[in-house]
Amino acid sequence: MRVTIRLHATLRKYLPAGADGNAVRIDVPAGATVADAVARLGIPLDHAKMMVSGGEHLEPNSALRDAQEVNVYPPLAGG
Amino acid sequence: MAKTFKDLMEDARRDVPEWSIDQVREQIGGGTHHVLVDVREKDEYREGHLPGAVSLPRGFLEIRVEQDVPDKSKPIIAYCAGGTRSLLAAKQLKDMGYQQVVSMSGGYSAWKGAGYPWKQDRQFSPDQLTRYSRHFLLPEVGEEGQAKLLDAKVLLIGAGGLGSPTAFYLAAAGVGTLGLVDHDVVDMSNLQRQILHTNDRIGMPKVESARETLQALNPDVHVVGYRERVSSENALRLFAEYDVIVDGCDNFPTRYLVNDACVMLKKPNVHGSIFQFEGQASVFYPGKGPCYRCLFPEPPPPGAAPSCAEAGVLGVLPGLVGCVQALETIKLILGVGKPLIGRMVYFDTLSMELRIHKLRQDPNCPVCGAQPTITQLIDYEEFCGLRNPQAAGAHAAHAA
Repeated sequence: MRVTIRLHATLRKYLPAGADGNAVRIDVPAGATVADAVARLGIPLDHAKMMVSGGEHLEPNSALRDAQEVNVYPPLAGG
Repeated sequence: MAKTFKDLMEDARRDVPEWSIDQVREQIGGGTHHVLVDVREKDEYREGHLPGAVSLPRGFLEIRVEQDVPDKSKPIIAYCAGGTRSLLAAKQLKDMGYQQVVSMSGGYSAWKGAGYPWKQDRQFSPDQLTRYSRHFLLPEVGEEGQAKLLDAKVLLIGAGGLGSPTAFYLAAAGVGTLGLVDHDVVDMSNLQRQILHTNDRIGMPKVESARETLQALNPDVHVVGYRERVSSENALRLFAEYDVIVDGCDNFPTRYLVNDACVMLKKPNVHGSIFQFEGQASVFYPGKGPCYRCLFPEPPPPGAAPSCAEAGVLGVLPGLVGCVQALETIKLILGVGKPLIGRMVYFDTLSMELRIHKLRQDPNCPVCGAQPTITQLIDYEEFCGLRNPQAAGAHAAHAA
């Protein structure tokens, strides 16, 4: 199945070449979790703390659905 | 045929019952749900009024009554100073469809003269009446809300990019006491975004520069500067004096200290943070929603999150996020609207996308969860690449 991952702020550096803005579409096997998708992009899990889909919070072990869009946010320090 | 004043009064008396002050006292004392409408001019109302009365001066009566009393079946007691204006006003209300309207004969003068309870709201100076006049027009603020703002004490952590717009708008709104914590001095590289400061103040402590700017904007505001870093030694003492804490700092050690101190003191933490072209804001309110650690339990590894000084920031971005922080702070003080508790607004300004996400409270949160493991403040400088973590206690050091 194919999911869209949007990477924000400091996580944009993990976007592969050819990404559409901050979005990357990846194919994952059925039953894959949010943590699996984050790992596929080479993002250490401790850098990606806040994962959200459809405005709702996801846990790292939340199962992905086909065509799901997931936003991944790091904490921001700046002020 | 044109009607005389006497005709109008007779018409009104035919349509509107008149109650004595004793009847009114008996009714409102008995817990009935009458709306008390004071139709005198604002300056008369300010001198004193019946407790709980809505101020609707006759000149604005028809314009505003449907907003203030939308249910036309709700019983209304109108009063003025002596009972004449309220009788005419009550007749007008009947003509507008209000079904149960009475006028209090003898008015406020008789009421007060009889020694019945009355209330005097905060007295505003003539300058304040003009300065906050646009707030007074908003039913959600009004004079009562403005009094809350003037009585409020807000502590801003950081007088930089975020702290500048937040402080500006809170001062303009008349927040009575603004505390500012910042150990730094004004640098020319700050001026691209830190709009509290000016070119001629380079080298001046930021809290001093901020005080000059804010007091020039609004002399009502008492600005208290703390030229120090927030630490485990001073956070609880500093925060204890304030109603709302606004986190506009620029580093993770301080963000975690601010969060933990707010949880321990049960103070709302109005959070804002930025990176290059993106920013986020939320309200972490202990007991009402998640805290910062529910989202981000521990600071990120050193180097994972560069600062504005390292990565750059678009100057206007903190203006956007800081204004959200000011707005949320004012909502909390007034008790109006729906604060960003349990929600985070995220701005991506290059694509101009705004997302609002629900946040979940972590039952295992190390500081606000059911069994907290962090019970004392932690200085995280080393954790974020500066020094060894300095815990204020062994338990805290272990938790870090």
